[in-house]
Formats: sequence, C-alpha cells, structure tokens
Amino acid sequence: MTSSKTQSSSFLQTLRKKFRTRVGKAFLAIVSVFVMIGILMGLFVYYGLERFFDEFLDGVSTTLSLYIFALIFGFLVGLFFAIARVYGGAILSRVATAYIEVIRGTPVVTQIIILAYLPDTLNIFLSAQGLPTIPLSWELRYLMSAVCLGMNSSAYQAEFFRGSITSVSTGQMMAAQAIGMSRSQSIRQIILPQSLRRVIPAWANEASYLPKVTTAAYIVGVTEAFHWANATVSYTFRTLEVYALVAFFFIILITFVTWLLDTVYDEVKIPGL
Amino acid sequence: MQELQEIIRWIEYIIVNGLPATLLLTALGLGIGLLFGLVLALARVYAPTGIQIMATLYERLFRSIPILVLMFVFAIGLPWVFAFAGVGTNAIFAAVAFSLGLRSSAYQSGIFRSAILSVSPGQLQAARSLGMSEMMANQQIVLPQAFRIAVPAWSNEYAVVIKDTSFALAVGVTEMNKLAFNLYTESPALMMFILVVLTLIYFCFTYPVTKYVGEYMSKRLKRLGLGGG
Amino acid sequence: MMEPVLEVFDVWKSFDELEVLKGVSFEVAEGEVKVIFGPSGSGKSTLLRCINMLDPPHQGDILLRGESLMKKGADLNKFRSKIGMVFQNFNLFAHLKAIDNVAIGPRKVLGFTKEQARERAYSALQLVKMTDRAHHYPAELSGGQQQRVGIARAMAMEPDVILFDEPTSALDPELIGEVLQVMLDIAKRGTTMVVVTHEMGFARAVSNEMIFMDEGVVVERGTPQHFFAGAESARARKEKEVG
Repeated sequence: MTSSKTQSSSFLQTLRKKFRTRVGKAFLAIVSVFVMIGILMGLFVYYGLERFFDEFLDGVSTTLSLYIFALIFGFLVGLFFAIARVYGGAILSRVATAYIEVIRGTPVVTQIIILAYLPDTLNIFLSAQGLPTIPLSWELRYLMSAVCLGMNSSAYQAEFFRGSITSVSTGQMMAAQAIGMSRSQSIRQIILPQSLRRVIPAWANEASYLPKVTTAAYIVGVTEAFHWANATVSYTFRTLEVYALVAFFFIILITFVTWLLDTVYDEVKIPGL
Repeated sequence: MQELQEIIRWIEYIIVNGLPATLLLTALGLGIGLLFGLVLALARVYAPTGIQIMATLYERLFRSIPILVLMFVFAIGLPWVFAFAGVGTNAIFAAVAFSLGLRSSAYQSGIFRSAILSVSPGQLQAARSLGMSEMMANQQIVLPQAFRIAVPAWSNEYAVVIKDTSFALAVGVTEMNKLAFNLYTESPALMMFILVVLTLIYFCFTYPVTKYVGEYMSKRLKRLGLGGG
Repeated sequence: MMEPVLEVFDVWKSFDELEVLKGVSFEVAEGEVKVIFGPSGSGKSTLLRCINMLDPPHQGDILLRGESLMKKGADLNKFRSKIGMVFQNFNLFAHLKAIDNVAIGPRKVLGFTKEQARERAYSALQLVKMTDRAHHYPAELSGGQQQRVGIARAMAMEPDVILFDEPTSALDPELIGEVLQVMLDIAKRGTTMVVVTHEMGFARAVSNEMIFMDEGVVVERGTPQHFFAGAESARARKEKEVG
C-alpha cells in the first residue's frame, strides 16, 4: 500500500478509530437518538401539528408504561415458567408448557379482548348472583391490557429462557450438585448466571418486538400512541403525516432499545460462553 | 339445550364468515413476503454495496413499524392505491394483505439471508471447481440447501402472520375476532366464550405446524448435515 | 515432445502482508503424478487453489495445455471444468445423493443429457467402487466413502489434470487405505495428478516427481528414489519421517 493517500485520509482514520471505542460508540448512539428525537419534534412543527404534541406525549407515555410493565412482568413470570418447564416435576412442567404454547400460538388481539372485557363480563355474572360488582374504569381497562401484554410477553420470554437454560450444559448441574449444592442452589448460583447472560441477544429480540405489540391495546380502547394518531387523524385528516410521526416514534424507541441491549451484551458477555 | 344449539350456530357462523378471510390474508401476506423477502435476501448477500445498504435499511424500517400502523397507513391512508382490487372493502382487504406482506418480507429477508450464509463455503468451492459459474453454483448448490435450512424459521413466520391477521379487525375487515367482538353488545358472555373457542382454532393452525414442521425439519437437516457454517 | 498439460510459472501470492507463495514453478506432463509435500503453512493448499484460480495468484502464470488462465478475459469456468479438484473435507453437495453429486457436473457444466450424465456418473462410481451406495446422501456415507465419491465427481468431468488437496488428512486411519487405493488405481490408468499429501507410501509407489515446499518456495524436487535413497535436505528428511 503506497502512502500517497495517507496524508489526507489520516484525519478520517483517527476519527474512525475514536468512534470505534466503546465510549465513542456510546456517544454516537446517544447523539443519534437525540438527533432523531429532534427530527421528530421538528417534523411536528414542519407539519404544523404542534398543538397535538402534548397529547402525543400522553399517548407516548402510555405506550412506554405499557411496554415497561409488560417487559418486566414478562421477565419475572417468563423466568418462572421457564424454570418450571425445565426443572419442574411432571405436572408443573406440563402446565408450564401448556401456558407457554397456548399463549404463543394465539393472537395477542384475541387475548387482549378476552382480558380487557373480563371484568365487564364478570360483573354480569356477579350482579346476577347479587354479589358486589367490580368498579369499571379506564384505569382498570388499562391494567387488564397491561397484564395481558405481560402474560403474552412472558410466554415468549419463557421460550428464550428455556433455550438458554438448556444450553448450559448438564455437566454444570452435575458439578454443582457434586459439591453439595441443592437443586435450587445450583439453579440460582450456577445455571441462571450463565443462562441469563446467554439469553441477552434473544431477549433483546423480544424487547425490540414488544413496543409494537403494545398497539394491540388500541383495539380495546386504551389511549396509547396509536390511539392518539387516529384521534388526531379524525381531527385533521392528515393521515400520512400523522401515521408517519407515530411510526417514527416506534422506530426511535426500537432503535434505542436495540442499541442499549447490544451495548449491555458487549459489556456483560463472558468470553467463550 | 336450545342455548347450546344457538351457541354452536353462532360459532359456525363466525368461522364460516371469518376464517376464509384469515386464511386468504395469511396466504397473500406470506406470498408477498416471500417474493420481496427472497429478492431482498439475495440483494443483501450478492448485490453491490449500495443496494445492500438500501436492502438493510428496508429491513430495519419494516421491522420497526407496528403492523397495526402499517395496516392503517395503507388501508386508511392510501386506499386509492389498492382500488384495482375493487372499491371499499376489497381495497381495504388488499391494503391489509399488502401491509402484512411488507412486514413479512422484512423478516423473511433475514431468514433467507442467514440461511444462505450458513451453507458451508466448501460447497460453493466444490461447485466452482467443477467449472460452474457463480450464478449456476448458487442456483444449483447454495440456494437449494438454503431453502431447506430456512424451513423451521419460515414455519415460525407463518405462525406470526396468521396471528397478525387479527389486527385487521381495526380497519374493518370482517374476520373472526371482529365478528366475535360485534357480539359484545348482545351478550358479553357469548363473546367471551366464542373468543376462547377462537383461541383454540388459532392454536390448531399454529402449534401443529411449528412443532412438527420445525422439529421434523430440524432433525432432517441435522441428518443431512446441512448448514453448520 | 508434447507440451506439458499443466505449467505453473513463477507464482506469487500474498494474504495482506503475508507472502504465502514466493515464485513457485513446475510442470506436469500427460499422465504424470506429482506429489507436493511439506510442513503446514508452506503454501501447498494455496498453490492448488491458485492453479484453478479459485484464489488467483498475484504474479506469475498458469497454463493449461499452453493456454494461460491468468490472461484477461480467460473463460475461467471452462478451464475449471478441465481441472478437477478433490478437497480435504470432501465438500460433497449435501442435498444431493452420491450419484447426483457425480452427475451434476457433466449435466450442468458440460451439457450432457440426464441419461448421458447418469451413465458417466455411474462409470466414474465404478472406478472408485462406490456403485452400491450411489443412492445415498453424503451424510449417510463414511469419510472414506465420501472422498471416493469426491474423486468420482472430479473424474466424471474427464479433466486434463486432477488436483488433490490433502485428500486423506481428514480421514480416520482405517479409512485412509481405501482412498489411497483408488488414487493408486487411477494413477495407474494414466490420470494426470497433482497431489498435496503427507502419505509417503503413495508418493513412493506412483509419483513421477516429488516436490518439497517450505515457506512458499520449492526447496527441493526429484524422483522418489532421490528422496527415499540418497542426498536430500535435512528438512525434507525430517518431513519424510513425520509423513
């Protein structure tokens, strides 16, 4: 390689090198997320839709709360069912398998309608029996939707956890028990730490998918981001612009989550695992 | 007993009027997804860098937009594009099928791309050393193996699409969930019962396929020694 | 004096900074068997991949029956159909049965009809004694059987020369014998072969010339008698013992 080009390209090269470091990459990623948010807000102004921005933020915060609730709920419940499926006795593992496979095999739309209208249906039964009814409210509807999304996510997460748990070799369990650890100790001290690190890429998949699933809550009347979109469209008839804005929001969110988890994985992964 | 008969008739009614739409949307969505997805996968593996970047951006884009938003964009925002299918409900149906196809194409592109990349490089070397051109070697040796490798992941994509068709109710497509939902005002308990029946129906369409195609094909692939980098 | 089938002329090849081949030359006449041996990393496999231009050299020339493969506009696919290759890890087409593995070259590259290609494939499989397993998939065959099918696949193209890249190195010891026997058979039938191998018994039995390579250069060359009897470089002697 002759050096005739080295003079002019050395600046670019040093720039590239700086951004290849972890700090550099993190910096770039954060900057680009902010840039995208800035573009989003700029588009609001450009389309002349600023007065809807407040409600947009309301919708966005509802979406985010649904997302985070479902993700965490899904993590805890999913982990439980995964362990139940792999290490549970004959009955528990079958129950766990049924839970996981039925939820994964059916649409979230159907699930969310069932759960969201469950209180209402129960009330009919309750009032017919003369029992006190459940107080209905939008908050309750929201809660039931969040629980449904959580259950839905838990089934998918359980599958990922199951995969990563079984991928930790059986030798590990044997070695742990050989030094006298109980089964639950072995799971907690040896299996889980390894499998939780291994599962991150797959889990990142679910974490990136879940924001899109929250739109199912629109169908049962929850006022999340997409609900805002349709409400604004019915006001302004600016269908494409409004849908573009809400789509852009999801793109930003998912890009951020993906980047965040990739970075975490890089930090946390154990070489050779 | 009369109630039970009525329930059964309702269920029949909903299945007869809703299931065909679901299946048709699934077929169209997967078909469009296959067509676009395959082209994109080939582009991402074989095309010059500029086109590769565009294909990657397309994939990223349609993986990040919720299917519900996509359906509304095409069914409500751009219905005139689909007027060729007929006006009104037909156009909406076509729009929904198209949005399902777009979304699926992004995922199928990923599936086929990784399948192509996991065909052992030695296979290509052997093919070329026989004198096959790059194109013939890909056609005769790489792609046939890539398709077989892709089957388990593809059966999973099928399950995703058939479940996603349920979102179509939001734009007014008469599918099973919508018909059940319409019963709410008449009898919420009936609606609930039918929805549970619907979950069973969906389950019958997804679980056997993913479990047996996925497992059977994975075993067969292992036996043939395909893929594995 | 007939022109040589294959001429490798002053071939140089580097990977990034690392020079792997530094001016390698040799010739192969019709019906000759050349054995190339040497320590790992000496560039032997790279040399073979240069010859059929799967990985072209940076400098030098490769001539098949007098025609240059390095010339601009050379029809490489056509040349490759006349140069056979047998790989260390067989590289049989995993989705095709044995007979189809052998037939696909004649069918798709040489343009024979399905029946003609099948006939050719069948005769090639007879040569390597694999006709009874012709309808099995590679995964159902042992390593030795797979390699024999690989040899048949190369032979079915009726090439001018066949290159063997350490054909037995990936085999279990019990299976090496059957493959070497096949190679001996086809050598005796007059096939022109260039074989990279550690199997000195084979070299002694059929090679016309042995070429010792180390660190990208030809260090020594000569008849088998030369290597197995009289004067030889210390390195070659050591390699002989290990092989």
